[in-house]
Amino acid sequence: MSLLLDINNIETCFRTEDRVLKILDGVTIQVKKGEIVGLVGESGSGKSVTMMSSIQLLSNSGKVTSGRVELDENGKNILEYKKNSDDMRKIRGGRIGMIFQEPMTSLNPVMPIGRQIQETIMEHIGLNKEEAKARAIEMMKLVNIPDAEERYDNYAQQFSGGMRQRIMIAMVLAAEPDVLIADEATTALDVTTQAQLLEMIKELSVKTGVAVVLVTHNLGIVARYADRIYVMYSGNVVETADTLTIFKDPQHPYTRGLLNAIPRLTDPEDRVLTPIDGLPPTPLARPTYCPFYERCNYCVPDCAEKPKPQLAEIGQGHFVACHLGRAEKDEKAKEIALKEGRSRPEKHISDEICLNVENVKKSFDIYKGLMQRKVGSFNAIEDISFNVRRGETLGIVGESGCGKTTLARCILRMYKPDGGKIELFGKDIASLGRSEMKPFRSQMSMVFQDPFSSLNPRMTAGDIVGQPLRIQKMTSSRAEYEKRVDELFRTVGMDPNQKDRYPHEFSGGQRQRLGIARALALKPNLLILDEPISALDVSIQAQVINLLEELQSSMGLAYLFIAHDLAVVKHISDRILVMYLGRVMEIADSSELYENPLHPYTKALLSSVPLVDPEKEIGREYIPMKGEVPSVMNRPKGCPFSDRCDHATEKCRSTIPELKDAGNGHMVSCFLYYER
Amino acid sequence: MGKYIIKRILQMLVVVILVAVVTFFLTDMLPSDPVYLIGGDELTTEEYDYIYHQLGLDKPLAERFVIWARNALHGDFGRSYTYHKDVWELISARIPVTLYLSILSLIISVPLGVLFGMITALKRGTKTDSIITLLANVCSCLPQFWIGICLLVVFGLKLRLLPSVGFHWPGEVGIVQHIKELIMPLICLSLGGVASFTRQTRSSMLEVIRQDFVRTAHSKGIKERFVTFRHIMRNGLIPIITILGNRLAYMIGGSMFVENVFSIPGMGTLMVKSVSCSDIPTIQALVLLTTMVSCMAYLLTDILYVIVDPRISLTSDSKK
Repeated sequence: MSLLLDINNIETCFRTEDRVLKILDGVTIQVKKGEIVGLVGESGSGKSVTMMSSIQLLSNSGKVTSGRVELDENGKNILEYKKNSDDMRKIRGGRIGMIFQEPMTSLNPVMPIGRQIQETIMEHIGLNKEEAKARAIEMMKLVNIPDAEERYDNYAQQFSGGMRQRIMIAMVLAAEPDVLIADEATTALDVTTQAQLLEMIKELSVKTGVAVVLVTHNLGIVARYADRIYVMYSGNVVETADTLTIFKDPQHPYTRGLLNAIPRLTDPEDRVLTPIDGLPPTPLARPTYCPFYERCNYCVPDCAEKPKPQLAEIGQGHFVACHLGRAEKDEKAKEIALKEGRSRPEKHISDEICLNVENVKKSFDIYKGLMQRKVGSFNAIEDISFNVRRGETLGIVGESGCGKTTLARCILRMYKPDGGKIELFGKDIASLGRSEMKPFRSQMSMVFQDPFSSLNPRMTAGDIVGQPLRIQKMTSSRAEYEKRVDELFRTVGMDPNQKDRYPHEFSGGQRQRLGIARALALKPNLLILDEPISALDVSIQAQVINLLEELQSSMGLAYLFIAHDLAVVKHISDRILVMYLGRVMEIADSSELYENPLHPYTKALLSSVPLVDPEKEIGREYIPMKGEVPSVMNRPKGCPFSDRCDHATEKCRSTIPELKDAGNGHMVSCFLYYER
Repeated sequence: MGKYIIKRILQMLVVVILVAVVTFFLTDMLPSDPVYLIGGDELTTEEYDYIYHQLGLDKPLAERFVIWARNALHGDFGRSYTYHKDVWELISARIPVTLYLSILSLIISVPLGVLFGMITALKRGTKTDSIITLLANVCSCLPQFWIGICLLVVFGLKLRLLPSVGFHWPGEVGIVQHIKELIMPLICLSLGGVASFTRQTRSSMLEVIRQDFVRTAHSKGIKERFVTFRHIMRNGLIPIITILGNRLAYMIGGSMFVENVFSIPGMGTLMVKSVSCSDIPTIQALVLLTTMVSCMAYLLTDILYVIVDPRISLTSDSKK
């Protein structure tokens, strides 16, 4: 197939107050007609900057300092056009369209969405106002926006995140471009919405012949959707090949590292994640030799002597930037496997029930008007029942807004549940008052999602970790306190000498370790982990997951692991609870749930998760879900999933199914499995 | 929308009534005795009692308020103690002057300020930006009366180019003289306005330029001027409306200095005079009027918000 977009060895620099940062250090990417190219790498690797450089969309401080970008192999370097010249504008938006990560802020809030689509059409297709409007409505229908005519005059904030991203796609495709760049376009969305969108992009690509560049950090997405993949690291492309080759025969140590670091849905139970140690170099500290040298476990001393390796073809379309040959790497891999030889820390699950939750319910009131009158209420969570044993991990999965966090807060008694029992080692704490609750506080604690905002920026790391000790007066002397804080630092693998530093001096992974140390300060029995790794990069995620597993094994902790990433939940959990619109849909052992999901919602959810394995993706069934997650305020009367379920009957729509054992402790609330 | 405006007008009424009550009771607590203000210092007891009764001061405070409020509703604010004229007559002669000056000054300062603001925002970091921004910062801190006096000394007294005091309608003195009389007060009134509109436009545009949807607009390849006007300006307008509302609300109070410096017979001079003479009926009427102007200005601002920013009306709808 002929070459469409040819980004050739570009270097991009950003000017800051006092220095110039070289963000891209010679990146070459080629996109052929109609293909889907994946561009993967961790945050800061330069993925987005590469694509934005190619269409001159960088902010004023960024500049492409060398290299060429060509379209259609016509020998014209489009970087020579002025940024806002007519020629460049015809390419940017007309031939190459781009959609962005933040669906909430990427559309103009004060211009009706239809007008925003119309604007693109009038600019690039040259239709008049009425024709462009008709075409815009056509485009809205193409991306499955219901009631397109009526919604033409709506504003962005009247749409959900997934719908806004559809609008973005309609807007970009309206100009009939040859290349669509999707820059982390589905990252902020729920898995089911993400799958809906990516399936649609794939279909549109087949239908209209538009080439797609998927910029993402999610290896699953590229495995499922891309034809070819570029792996980027620290402003360089380190490896490129077709998707099958990248996953079956990765040759760059970084690619191998990434693949070893991520959990997969298809993993065997004893799979150990191998994190990549250290952090990528900052653009200022990027060495002249191989930028991955410091973190590479294949490297030989020679690597630091030679200049940065260039991409070299080692197979059909398979390029790798590494000094080592295949034989050398295979040799080394054996060595590493021997040396590592780690197994997963042993689980010690006792029969003692640590936390028992029965029929917990929490509703919130809706207030309105000047006097804040109560006008109604909605149940955020209903009839939640489950238990967690000592030493066990219960994963809680569900899409945003399903009540995961409300549940966590009820258990921690940050909220008072409206009904039901919460038993901590047999003692019901659901209705205890503030002072009665105090002795129980030390038995459970929480690790939060965002390691950047959950640590007080004005407190030192030592003070943050030691704060629970001071509040609960757990130590009797200064020396004892300091000793305990040092111990906590060591427990989470950090150096106690860093006690006096402030949170901003730590990396994301280190900050999350501090959050864990703080949670462990009072020697709790139960740890509630609310999306503890979703803000971290892939290689760092593995470090934190491994740490959590080691801590559980050595301290006999019970975990309540809340997350939306199903592969991670599967990896870490013994049992999994699936929530939807505030109700429990299914609870089962984690391998049982993945191998034999019963609830139609669980089935659809699982099929939405891309596997990190293109071979297994072939022929895999994708169960499309109808529509979007409704708000808990208009939960269907019967089974919450009844309005999106293909199996729903009259009974499902009118009666709420109970959570019942379908055999082997596999609990499911669906009429399909009983009373039929 | 209609419901929203009615709701806001009702809220305004509450404010106006509260202000009326508070002003009435506060002015009653003033230490000066209105009887002496009207009759002079040397009064016999009989004369004093007569005026005291005439003013209704022998009635209880609450009753006097009810009478005053009832009359005020009929447009009767009583007689001025100092001018010995009907208060409404006094005020109505002066409203047009103040209104005329204030509106002219807004007509000058909004477009100029927005224009300068756009220039500085789009040329951020250049010499043009630095110079205009510096000037705007300086001008927005200069006190009006100081600018007024400087202008007066230079153009009125030294160069004798412009008349230093007075204000007449074109019908009275002819258009040329009218414009000459206007120049200095208008510069004085508008300089601060231009400066603050420049500063606000600049910062709100810079804020918008960083937004993701502006990047989206650029990525669509539409013309630069469409990006600027359709996407950046429309969003940048919102904070500018706030300033506009503030300046409208401050219209009467703001003209006080300028009218006094240039001896213009407007509301500002009347206010200063009535306060210094404890002319209670005039003060009460002026405070009420100022409150109403402020309320109207804020209502106008809120309506403009709804027009410019659909998010505001949408959120109030969704709560219903």
